Amino acid sequence: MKKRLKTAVKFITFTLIACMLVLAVNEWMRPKFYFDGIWSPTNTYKDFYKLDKNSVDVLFLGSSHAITAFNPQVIYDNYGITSYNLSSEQQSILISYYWLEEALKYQSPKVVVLDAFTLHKYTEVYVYNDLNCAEGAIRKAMDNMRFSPLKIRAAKEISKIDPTQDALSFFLLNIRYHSRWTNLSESDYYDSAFVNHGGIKGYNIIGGFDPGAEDVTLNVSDLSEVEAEPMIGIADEYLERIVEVCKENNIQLILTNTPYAESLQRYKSVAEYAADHDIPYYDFNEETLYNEIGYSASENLLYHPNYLGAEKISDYMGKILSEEYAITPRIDDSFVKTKENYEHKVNNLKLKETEDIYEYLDMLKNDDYSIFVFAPCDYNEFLDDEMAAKIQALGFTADLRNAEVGTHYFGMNDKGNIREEFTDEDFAITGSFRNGRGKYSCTVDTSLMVSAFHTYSMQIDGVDCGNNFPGINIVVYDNEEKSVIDKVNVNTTTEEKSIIRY
Amino acid sequence: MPIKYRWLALLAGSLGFYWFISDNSIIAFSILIGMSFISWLLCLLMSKKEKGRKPIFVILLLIIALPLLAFKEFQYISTTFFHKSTPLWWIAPIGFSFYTMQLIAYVSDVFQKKTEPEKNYLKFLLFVSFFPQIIQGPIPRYKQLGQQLVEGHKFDEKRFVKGFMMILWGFFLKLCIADKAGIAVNTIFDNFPTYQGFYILVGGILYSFQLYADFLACTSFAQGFSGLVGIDIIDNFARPYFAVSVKDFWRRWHISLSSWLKDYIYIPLGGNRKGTFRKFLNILVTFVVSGIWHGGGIKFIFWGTLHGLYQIFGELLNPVKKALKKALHIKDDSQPLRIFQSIWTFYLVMIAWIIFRADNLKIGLSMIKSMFTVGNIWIFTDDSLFSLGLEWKEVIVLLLCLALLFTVGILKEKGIAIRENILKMHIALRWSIYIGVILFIVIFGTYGFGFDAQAFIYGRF
Repeated sequence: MKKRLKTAVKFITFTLIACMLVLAVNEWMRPKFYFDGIWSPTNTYKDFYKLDKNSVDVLFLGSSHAITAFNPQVIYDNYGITSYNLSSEQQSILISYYWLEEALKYQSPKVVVLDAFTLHKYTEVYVYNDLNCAEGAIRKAMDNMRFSPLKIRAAKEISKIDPTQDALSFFLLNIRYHSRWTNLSESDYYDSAFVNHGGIKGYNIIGGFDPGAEDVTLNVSDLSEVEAEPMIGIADEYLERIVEVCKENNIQLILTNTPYAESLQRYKSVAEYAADHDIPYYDFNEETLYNEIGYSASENLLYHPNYLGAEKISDYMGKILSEEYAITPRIDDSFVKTKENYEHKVNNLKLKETEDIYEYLDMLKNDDYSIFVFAPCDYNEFLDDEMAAKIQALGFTADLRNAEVGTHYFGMNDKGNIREEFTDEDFAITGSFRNGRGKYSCTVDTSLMVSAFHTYSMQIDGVDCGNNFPGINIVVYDNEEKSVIDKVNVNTTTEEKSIIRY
Repeated sequence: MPIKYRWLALLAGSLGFYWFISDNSIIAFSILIGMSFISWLLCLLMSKKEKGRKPIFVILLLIIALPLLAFKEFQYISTTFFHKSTPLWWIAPIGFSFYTMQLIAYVSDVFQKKTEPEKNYLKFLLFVSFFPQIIQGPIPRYKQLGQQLVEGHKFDEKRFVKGFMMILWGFFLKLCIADKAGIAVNTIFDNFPTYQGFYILVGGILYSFQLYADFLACTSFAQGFSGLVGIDIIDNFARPYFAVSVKDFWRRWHISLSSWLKDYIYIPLGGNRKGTFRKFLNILVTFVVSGIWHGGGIKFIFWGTLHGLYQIFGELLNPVKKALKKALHIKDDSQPLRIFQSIWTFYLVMIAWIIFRADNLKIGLSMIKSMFTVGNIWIFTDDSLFSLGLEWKEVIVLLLCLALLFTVGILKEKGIAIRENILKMHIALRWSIYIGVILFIVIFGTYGFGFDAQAFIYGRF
């Protein structure tokens, strides 16, 4: 008997250890999408679990349109309303429903704002599957959901609707990500550091302009001329479930659509549903609302609003939440950190949009940046005193104005750690930055044993940053995002000193 | 459950497993039950008679062997000569080739009075359907397995752990070697003539290891699962790629089939007792039968014949080899000679595997021809090999796994019992090894999403 008991204990102990380690490996293999990428579902969902219980009054759910349109930081800064954006790329209505259910375990929102884009086909030309989204989109939202009976239910339903997706693989991630070991990166090994950094309450920032874009709006007075476009199959069931859940929890559900050149037919089907169920519907494609918030396709982009467009939409949402739904302001210290994150991202976008070299050099005075300067051959004919001084103000000592043609320059400033090379001979230097975690190399090889492009080469953290343009190359490495965020060439051999991004 | 009746649980489990793996096919299940019942009944009848045994034996052999032949060859004959495809249901039930051989061996042994017939049909059915081996063998003899299955076994921790180790080894072989190599093999073989020349050499080598690892994995699973319930199953391989001749290869490869062919084809034909010509003819016939067993069509007959010819020429060249060794002062037990012989044997076997794996004989011969006529040696230096579906990191893992397989082979050749040695280690070290292997397979194995899992190759035969 004693022997049997001993064997049983050994068996159970071994099984437990093996299972724990397999689960740890699974976690390691799970793809991670943090604040350093364009989309950051890992931060969105992991940050959500770190919120204080019942600290959120408004939840946003929906597609990538919603991720880039609803900025909780702006709503908090302008109205003191605490909100969180649980949207994800191509978020299926099924995912919206399950994440709403999951969120309600931790928060008691007064309002849920649902992006109605998810109720129709994501593209006109391609149907992914009955879930209305790519498999990867399901994974990005579901992989970060905590294990619970709710997740088991979700996995089973996903697998039932799209049999190519294996329900078990939502729990044993190695079934899905068995090949990930070939490209595990820093964020996989330092997961906790990336999680602790945090995002912007689920909001993802986008920059850029589209000067040629024209405003596309719809006019409600034309509605009678069109037939409503039917919603996708699963919308019937899951939208109904969302409505029910909101009713049961005394939550005000709001439907919205952000500016994306929506068709009248789609508008009509959502508007009819909203009217039938007595749900408020705010569609920013509708001409009056579009103009009321001062939206512009060329300045704010369609489909995915840039951060300026998001500010307009978010401000409006904050206003109606405050005035029409009586959401009151509160103090939430977690918005202090997210404000820093937001401002940092905005600074990066502004830097990448700057075309004036003097302004650009001023913006580089930022402790978060490591700066690399590479001037391989011919660069000082029109290098003026102001520009040279601004380069030196970044911490470099070399005076590039005095260099003769044929002299190569390399400079690096990593948070005060400065390295400079000035020589008229071929060279190959390597070094590390970011406390040894990043690596750079710079080569001038005129022997013609390498391709012409690689005569002057520079690699920073695995990114090829070399080029053969005349003038000075500046590479900006953001230590917050742990990546190269901008590479510019300033042609200082012409008077215009134009900036080329490469 | 009392030990005495535990075999009933094994029987229920085996039948359930067969029902499951044959996709709940009533036909497959009925064939298994029907063939085993007829064999059991007629063997009992035969054992009770002193006269008239032979006609029963012959009828029984025909009843057992003809369906196998029909399933194997009818499809090929129908599509090749009559250009008509066989009906969809004309597919051999899973494991059919294996249990047919098992039944023939049993019937022959009873006929020759080498074994007593089993009186209890259910016990006999357990012998035929025993779940760990029904898909891919080994092909057991009743004398070796029959009693073990029904005698009942107490739980033995040591045997259980040894079985567990065999299962882990099976997973390693299947997921880290066979299925990984299979990706590149499929790319090359499924896209000929895109891939020619040295690609075929690479494909042939990888296929040789894929087939070995795949088949060895299945045998390991069979031994492992049997070990968990205290039953020993014979080894089906003895490091075949260390063989120093093709004859030696067949002593080490698919041992249960080779010994079956020897006992029930080669020796009854006269073996080597009727002169050199008859011996060579018997070898050829035996290998042709082996080819037919492996599949329908001329390709498998050619493959079998090629192996027969390898052996015949091997023997014919013996005097030349002896003269050469004498002239070059090479001793018979010289290590370099053994290595050379192993490499040469592997090469010959690999050439035959190319025919075996190719879509048909014509393509197989064209592939072999291209190996010798297309000189694209640069594929070994310009990263072309990494475009076969395995990136360089996967290739390194595959090579490391093959190196481990090779090392294990060497240790076993030296008679070192690896599992026994592991069992002697401190528990912390033992568990570290088990868990290390599990994690290695989870991380580096080839399986899951985006990967078309390969069925066991020999399960098709």
